[in-house]
Amino acid sequence: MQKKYRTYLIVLMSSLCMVLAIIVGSAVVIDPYALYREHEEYVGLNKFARLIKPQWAVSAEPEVVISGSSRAEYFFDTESLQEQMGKPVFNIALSGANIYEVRRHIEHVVAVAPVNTMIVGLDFFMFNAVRDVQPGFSEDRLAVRMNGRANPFYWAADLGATLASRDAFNEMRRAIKYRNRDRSCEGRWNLQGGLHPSYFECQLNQAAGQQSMFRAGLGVYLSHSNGIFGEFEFDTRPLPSNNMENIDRLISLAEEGRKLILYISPVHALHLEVFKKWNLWSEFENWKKILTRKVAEAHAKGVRVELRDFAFVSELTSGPVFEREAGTDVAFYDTNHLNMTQRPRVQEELLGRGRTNNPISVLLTPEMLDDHLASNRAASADWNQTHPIEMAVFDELVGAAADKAAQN
Amino acid sequence: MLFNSHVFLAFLLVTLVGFQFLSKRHVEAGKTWLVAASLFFYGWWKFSYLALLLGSVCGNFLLAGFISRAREDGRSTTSLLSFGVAANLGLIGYFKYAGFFVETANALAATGLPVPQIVLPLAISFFTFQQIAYLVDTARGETEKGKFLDYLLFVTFFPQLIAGPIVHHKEMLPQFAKPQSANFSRNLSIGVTIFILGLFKKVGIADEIAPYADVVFDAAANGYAPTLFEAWTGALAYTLQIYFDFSGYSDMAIGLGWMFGIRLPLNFFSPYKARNIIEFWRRWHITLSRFLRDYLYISLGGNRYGVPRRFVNLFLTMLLGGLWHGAGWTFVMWGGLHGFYLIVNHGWRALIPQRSTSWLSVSLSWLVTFIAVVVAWVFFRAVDFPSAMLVFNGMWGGNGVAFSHEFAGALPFDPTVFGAQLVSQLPLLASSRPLLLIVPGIVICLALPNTIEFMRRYRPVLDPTHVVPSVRHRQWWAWRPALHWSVITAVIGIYAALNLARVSPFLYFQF
Repeated sequence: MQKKYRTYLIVLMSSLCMVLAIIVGSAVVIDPYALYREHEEYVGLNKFARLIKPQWAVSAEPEVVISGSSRAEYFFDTESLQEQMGKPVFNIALSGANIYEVRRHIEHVVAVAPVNTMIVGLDFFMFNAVRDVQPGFSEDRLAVRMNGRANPFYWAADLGATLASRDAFNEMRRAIKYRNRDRSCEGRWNLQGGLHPSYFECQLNQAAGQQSMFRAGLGVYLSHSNGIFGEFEFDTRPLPSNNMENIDRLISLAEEGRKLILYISPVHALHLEVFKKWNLWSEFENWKKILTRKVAEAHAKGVRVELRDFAFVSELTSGPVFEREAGTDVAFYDTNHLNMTQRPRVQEELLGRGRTNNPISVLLTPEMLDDHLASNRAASADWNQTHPIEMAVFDELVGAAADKAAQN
Repeated sequence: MLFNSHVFLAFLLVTLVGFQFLSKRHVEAGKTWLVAASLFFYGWWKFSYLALLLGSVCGNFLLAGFISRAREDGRSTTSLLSFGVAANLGLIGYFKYAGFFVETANALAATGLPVPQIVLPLAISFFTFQQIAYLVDTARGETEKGKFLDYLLFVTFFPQLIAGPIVHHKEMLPQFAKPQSANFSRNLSIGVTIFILGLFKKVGIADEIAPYADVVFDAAANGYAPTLFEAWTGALAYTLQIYFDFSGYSDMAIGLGWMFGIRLPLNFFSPYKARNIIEFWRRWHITLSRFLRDYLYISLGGNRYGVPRRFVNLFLTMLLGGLWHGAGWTFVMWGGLHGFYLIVNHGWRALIPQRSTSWLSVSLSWLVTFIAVVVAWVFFRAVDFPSAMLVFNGMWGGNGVAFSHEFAGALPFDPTVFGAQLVSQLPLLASSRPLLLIVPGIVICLALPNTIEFMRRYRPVLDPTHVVPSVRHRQWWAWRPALHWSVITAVIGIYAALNLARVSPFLYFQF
C-alpha cells in the first residue's frame, strides 16, 4: 500500500522538479532580463523595470546614482554622463514613482554600491498623499528594510519571478523571437538603467506628432480621477508615505559623505498651467519653499547638498507648441518629458557647468527664493497672456476633462 | 508569509523535514518543532505581534485552568468566564474595531476624536474566537485537561492560523495528543495533492479573475458609475474571485494539515451549488457558521423564545458575523443582507413546507439564491456605501447599458438598436477575456466535483455539518495514487508554481 503512495509521490515530485529545472535552466541561458550575461541593452516593457533595475544596480556598482520618475529615467544619457564624470553611473529612476519609492530605491543602491553622488529628480506629483507606490514595487527586493536595517536576503526575493514564473516564461519566448531586432517603438534600456527615448522618438516620427503627445500628456494631468492632481493632498502622513521626511532621509545619506544633487524636473509652461487649474500653485510654491529650507539647513551643517529648479518659465520651458506647424523642435516630447536634444544643456547645468547668461535652472537658496517665485509667477502670467493659441487648446482640454468627469 | 509564495514553500520543506525527523524519535519534540515553526510563520509577518499572540494563548490557557478548577470545586465560573470573554473581546475590539468605532462616533456626533492608527494583528479574529470557544466549553465542563504544548499548537498550528478554518478544541486537541507521523507517504501524497489543487485555484483562477473585479470596484470608488455590463462583470468577477480564493485557501490549509498528519474541519463545500441561503451557509465558511451558531445565536436564545425572537437572534448573529469580517459598515450591510435572506428563507419554509423537486423549481431556487449572494458580495467588496450603490445601480441598468465591441459582435442581435452603447469606459473590460473567465468559472463552481468530493475516498476532512455525501461507489474521476493522477497533478502544480511570483494576499488574510 505504502509503495503505491511512494511511487505516486516520486513521479509527481520528479515531474514537477524536472520541468521547473528545465524552465530555470532556460531562463539562465536565454537570460530574458539580462541578469546573467552581458547584453548591450534590454528591450522590454516598463512593467519589469521595478523587478530588474535593483538587480542591475548590484552588478553595475555605480558611484553615481540617478533617481526620480520617468522624467529622469528618460532624460539622462548615462553613457555620456559616465564619460563626463569619470565614474560609473546608474539610473534607478522609475516611471510614476512617488518620493517614497524614489528614496527606497536610492537607499538600496547606496547599500549595494560605493555611491558618492546622488542625483534626484523631484516632481510635485510625487508628494501627493493619494499616490501610492506603483504595482511591481516590492520592499523585499531592496537591500535595506523600511526600518533602516539591512535585508540580507534581498537577492532571493525575485529568484522565483525571474527564473520560474509565467512572466519569465513569456519574456523568454519574446527574447527568442525579438532579440537583436529593431524595435525602436518599445522601451529600450541600457544596462546602466538609462531608458532610451526611442518610444517618444518613434511617436514623433511615425504617428502621433508632438501636438498629439502634448494633448495626451495634458489630458492625464487634467484628468479628475487619476491620483495625480485630480485629487491632490500634500502628504503629511507618517512614513511609509510620500511625505517630506523622505527628503530628510535622502539628506541623511548625504550626511555620510555623499553629494546630493536635488533638482526639480523641467516641465513645459503648459504644465505649470495645470497647477493653476487645480488651484495648486500656492501649494507648489510652498513645496519649493520647504525643499529649499531643508536643503539650506543641511547645507549650513556642511552637508554637500544642493537644490536646483528647472520647473519655471524659461527659455527651455516656454516654447510654443500649438502655434506652429507640427514639428519636433520644441524642447519637450510632451509637457513633462524633455527632448533628448536638450540632454547636454541640462546635464551641464546639473553638474554646475552651465551657461551663466540666460540660465535654464536656478540654484535655490532661502535668500533668493521669494524673488524667484515672484518672478516665475509673473513670467507664467505673462506667458499665459502672450500665448492665446496655447491657452485655447489648454482650455479645450480642461473642458474635455470636466465633461468626462461629469459623464462618470 | 502567504501560502502562495516561494518563501512559504521553502519554509514548508524545512518544517516538514524537521517534523518528520523529530517526531519519529520523540513525539513531543515533533510537536515542539511544529509550534516553533508556527510561531516563526506568524512572526515573519510582524515579529512584535508574536508577543500578543503568545500573551493571548498563555492568558487564555491560565484562565481556562482557573475556570476548570473553580468548576471542580463547585464554585461559580460566571465571573471568570465573563472576564475571559470580555478580555478577548476587548483585545479584538481595540485592535480591530477601535478606529471604526471612533470614526463612527465622529461621523454621528461630530466628536472630532483622533482616529487611532492601529495595525491589525494577523489572524486575531481567528485565534480570539477559537479561544473564546475553549473558555466557554471549559466553563460548560466540555473540555479535557490538556497539556500546554497541545493547547499552544491548537491555537498556533500554522495551516489554520491566519485564515482558518476556525478549529474547535474537541476536533484538534485529541489529534495533537496523538499525532500520526506514521503513514508519511500516504499523508504526504494526499496533502501535496490537495495543496496543489488549492494553490492552482488561488493563483491560476482567483488571481486571474481579480483584475476584472478590481477595475470596476476601484472605478466606482473614484465615482465612476459602471454600466449594466460593467457592473455585472465586476460583481460576478468578484463572486468568483472570492470563491476560488477562499476555496483555494481552505484546500491548502487541509493539504498542509495532512502533511503533518492532522485532519482539519471542512470549511467550504461548493456553496454556489446551494439552492437556498440556509444551504449556502451550510457550505460557505462552515466553521464560522458553526461558531456563530454555537456561541452567539444559541447564547442569544436561538429558537427557544418564539419565531419573532428567533428572527431577531438570526439577524443579530449575521450582523455580527458581517462585522467579524471587517470593521466597516459595508461588512455590516453584507451581514445584514444575509440575515434578511435567512429570515425570508425560514419564513418561506414555514409558509410552504413542501419542497418541489421539479427541474424548473430547483433551477429557479438556485438562480434566486445565486443572485442574492452576488448582490451581497457587492457590499462586501465595495470600499464604501456610495461606491457599492453605484455598482448596485449599474446592475439594475440605472447607469445605462454599454457592451464591449467584441461582446456585442458575439451577440445574435445588434444591441445598439436597443440603445446600448458600444464603448466601454473601462478599457480592461473591452475584450471578451472577462467573459471567457467568468463563464467557465461559473461552470466549474456548478458542474465539477469539489476537492473534498474528488478526494473523498480518503476522508480528507472532519465533517461537522455532514454535508459531504458518503462514498457509495467508485467513480472514475475520484483521485487515487495512480500514475495518471501524478502526471495531471504535476501539470497543475507546474502551472501554479509559474504563477507564484505575483504575490497577492488572500481575501481572508486579515480578518
